[in-house]
Amino acid sequence: MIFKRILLGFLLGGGTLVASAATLLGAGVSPAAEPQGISLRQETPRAGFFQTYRSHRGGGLRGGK
Amino acid sequence: MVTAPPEQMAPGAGRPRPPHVPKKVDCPNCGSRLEIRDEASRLVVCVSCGSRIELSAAELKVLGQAGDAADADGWRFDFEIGDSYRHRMDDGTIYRFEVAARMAYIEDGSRAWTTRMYLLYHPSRGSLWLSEYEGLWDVSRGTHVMPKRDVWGLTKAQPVETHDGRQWHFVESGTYELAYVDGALPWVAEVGDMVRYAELLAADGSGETFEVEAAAREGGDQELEFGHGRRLDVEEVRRGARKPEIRDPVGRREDLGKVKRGYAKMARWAAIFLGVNFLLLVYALFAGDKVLEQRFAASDLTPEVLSQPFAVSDDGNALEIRLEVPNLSNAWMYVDVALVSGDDPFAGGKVVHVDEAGIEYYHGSSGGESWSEGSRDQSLWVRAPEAGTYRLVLRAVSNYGNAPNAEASAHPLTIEVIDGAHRRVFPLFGVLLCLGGLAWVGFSYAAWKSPSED
Repeated sequence: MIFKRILLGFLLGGGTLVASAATLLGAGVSPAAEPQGISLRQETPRAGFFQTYRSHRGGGLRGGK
Repeated sequence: MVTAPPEQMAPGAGRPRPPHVPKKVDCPNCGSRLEIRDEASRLVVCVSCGSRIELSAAELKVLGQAGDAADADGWRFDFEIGDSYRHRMDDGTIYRFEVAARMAYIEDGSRAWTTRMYLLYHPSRGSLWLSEYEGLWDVSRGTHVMPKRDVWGLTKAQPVETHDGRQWHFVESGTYELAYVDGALPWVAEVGDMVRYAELLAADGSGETFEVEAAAREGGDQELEFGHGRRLDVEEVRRGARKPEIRDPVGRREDLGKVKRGYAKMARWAAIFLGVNFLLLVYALFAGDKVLEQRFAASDLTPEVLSQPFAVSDDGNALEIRLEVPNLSNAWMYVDVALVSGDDPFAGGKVVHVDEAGIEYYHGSSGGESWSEGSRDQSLWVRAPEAGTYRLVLRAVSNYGNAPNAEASAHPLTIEVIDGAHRRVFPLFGVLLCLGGLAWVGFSYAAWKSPSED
């Protein structure tokens, strides 16, 4: 019985503590990838950000799935 | 009319009880002299030849053998017939009893579960039963008090009231078989007799016991007997028997009230933790401010579109970007999302974060059952580097079924941005963990309570 109580207390108490800390401290949210910001070229103002971004960085959808 | 003199009517007055003289009989089988101390005895087992002799018949009658007398050693009795046992009665007085009979009961046909019982005889204090199972001792005497309810098939710790108003907890029930007997007994016992028993324990924690036994008697009747007693510490038995060599208990007795309170305490703690996690989940669900809600037509999403501006109140705030495609059906959509600080990314604004989401939702029916897969919405999470005004740049393409490519969006998209949001996955995990813990406590309690025999 005492073993069960310790196990349950450890699991539920520990789980609640972790869940509370993670929620209140905002865990699971990544910081912005480019905190300094990417300056968009003024000479192609309406060419489309993603077209420019993807062609420079690669990856992404690049025109479809 | 003749009346007794008043002095003879006073308590303790009158004629003294005549001295107790044991009845002497000769074994009809071997001629050995046997002493019967208890006038209520109906059966005696000859110490010399092991014959079972019925005393209640007009003439002594040999019923058969009670088994090899030497077999007694195999049952590991702690007392011999005629041994003394000093027992403290309820009034505090210690009386010397004598072992008049010994019995070994087994359960499930195995000697591994043997209960040894001793009939303790006293000429003026009646008889007591001393019993031992795995070194755990009880003493009891017959009572006419009956339980108010049927005790068979109850579950552990279930309450039972007796007709004297006492409250008890059901402990266990079972059936045991008489495997060995010697000495003199008040009934005609036979090896192989089956006895059903139920044990109750006082609810007030006094350690008192109440026993119910049902034994088959002559003529196919079932006789119920009740016993009231208490649990004995092995040291008390050693002192009473003056036998320090009596074995230590193998196990420990379960304190029913303590176990029950232990389960209640565990359930209470699990419920408290569940409440904490539930409150946390509610907080996470409603935390933050909706700073943007905007619907985009399918045609707006290709090549890309800029959202309305929205404000982030604090540096490092978590943003939840909810993407919902309300009429997505057996189709998929891929969405590019860029977070832009400032009003216009092409007039001094900077892209601080880029992310993408794949949303797909399929459904149908197969074999008469409906199924669905995926979801019509998805959330992206990012921490804004600083407070200020932001916009989103969005681009989406979508298509139906298994089409591998798309050049444009066929579906509209709704965007919501929550400033200062909290992820729900952690408290949700906590809630599920606590629900699992509560269920585990419930199942454990039910398993503990389940009847041991029936």
